[in-house]
Amino acid sequence: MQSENEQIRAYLVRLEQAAAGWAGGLDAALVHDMLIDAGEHLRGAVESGATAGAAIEEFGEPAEVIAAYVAADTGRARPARAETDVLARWSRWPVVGVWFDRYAWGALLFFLLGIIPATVYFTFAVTGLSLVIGTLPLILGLPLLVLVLGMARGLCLAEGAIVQAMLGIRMPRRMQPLGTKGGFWQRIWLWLKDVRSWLSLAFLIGNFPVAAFLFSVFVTLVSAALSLIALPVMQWVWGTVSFGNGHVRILGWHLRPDPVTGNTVMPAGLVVLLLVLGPVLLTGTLWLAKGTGWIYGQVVKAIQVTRPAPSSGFSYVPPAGAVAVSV
Amino acid sequence: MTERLGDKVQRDLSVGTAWLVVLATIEARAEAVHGYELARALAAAAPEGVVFKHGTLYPILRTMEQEGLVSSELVPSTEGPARKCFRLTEGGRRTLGTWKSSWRRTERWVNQVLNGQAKGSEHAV
Repeated sequence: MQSENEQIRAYLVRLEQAAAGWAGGLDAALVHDMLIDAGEHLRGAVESGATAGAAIEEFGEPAEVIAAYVAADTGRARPARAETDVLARWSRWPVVGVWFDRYAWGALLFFLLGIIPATVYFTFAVTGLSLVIGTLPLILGLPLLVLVLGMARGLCLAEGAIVQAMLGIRMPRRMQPLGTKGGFWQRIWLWLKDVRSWLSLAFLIGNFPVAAFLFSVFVTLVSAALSLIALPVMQWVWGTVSFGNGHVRILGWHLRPDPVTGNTVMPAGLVVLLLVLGPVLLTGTLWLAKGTGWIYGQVVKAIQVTRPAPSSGFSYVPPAGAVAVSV
Repeated sequence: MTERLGDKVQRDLSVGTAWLVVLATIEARAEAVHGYELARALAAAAPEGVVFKHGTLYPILRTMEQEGLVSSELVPSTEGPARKCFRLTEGGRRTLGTWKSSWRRTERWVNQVLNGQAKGSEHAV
């Protein structure tokens, strides 16, 4: 005879297996949320006096439950606009559709502004770790480490929410609950052995150089693209462009400024070339931002849905006194 | 074929009305309500022949929360882990009002058609 908890665990394993074999595949974040919901519901049912068997039967067969999640989730990760929305239709055009894709612009903005939160995360993680190392010989060190790990997970979850909003990649909405009951050292051990806490902390540190590199790349690309577009526009508006008094060479054209006014007039061939190259570079930049955003989103998601192997005794059934966090 | 179509009609009806019923059930509670309690209330109120599976409630609640129709809070429990409880937001209350009116219009329309058909069949007999 299986215990109540074992029956719930067995059901969750069935649910996870059914999700793994779901035709067309399922988003890891959706599976993560579904398993947390199921574990919390079934445990709540048992604590309210139901038997695990009855609670599982009332909960539904894995296929029914998954179908309900898929139906509710379809189109939600990337909130599809109505078919009548002109921008949504234009964003499906090949190549140039990216100009009308709000998530491509969102990704570009994310990488241009991402250096700010990345600096905050890095400062927090390094300061926190330094404090922990400094106080480790004292008894204060371990609780402080738990606090830093907990805040790192919270920040990682918040980063996930930003990624979902700006890049349109579905993120888990809840963190796997961790125990808060039991002895003081037992609770500290629970946090310390949780791989996601350490991964979150590593992310906060490792994200800084990545964000700095991506910031440099995208600032350079956007500046170059906008300059290429701006030069012909300036010449069209003012009749000349000014590069100062020096000679400049643009794409093989050697431009000499007027000795009296110091202004330069670009030849028609160069104007046409710039008018083509500028938008092409901006389009390429948007595609690059979109692709990089997808990879970045997958990394953040992987950290949040990572779970220890079942052989380690890990379960989505929340332990007594668990605290669930959600965004 | 007819049976499959019947299942589809039943499923569409259930999906369409589930949102309204869930929101109305949350509204009926003075306190924030836990998912399990809500699922039991919905299952108990389900008409004969309609089996409400508790597991199908959570994706609806998540979507409602994302849309700002319900809010959730963690309520400590003496029996176990803190429970996530849901309550209606002001936006949810307004949306429910709109859905109720829409439902009543649909109900009147369907009843009108069905009653008309019943009368028609009586005349034919």
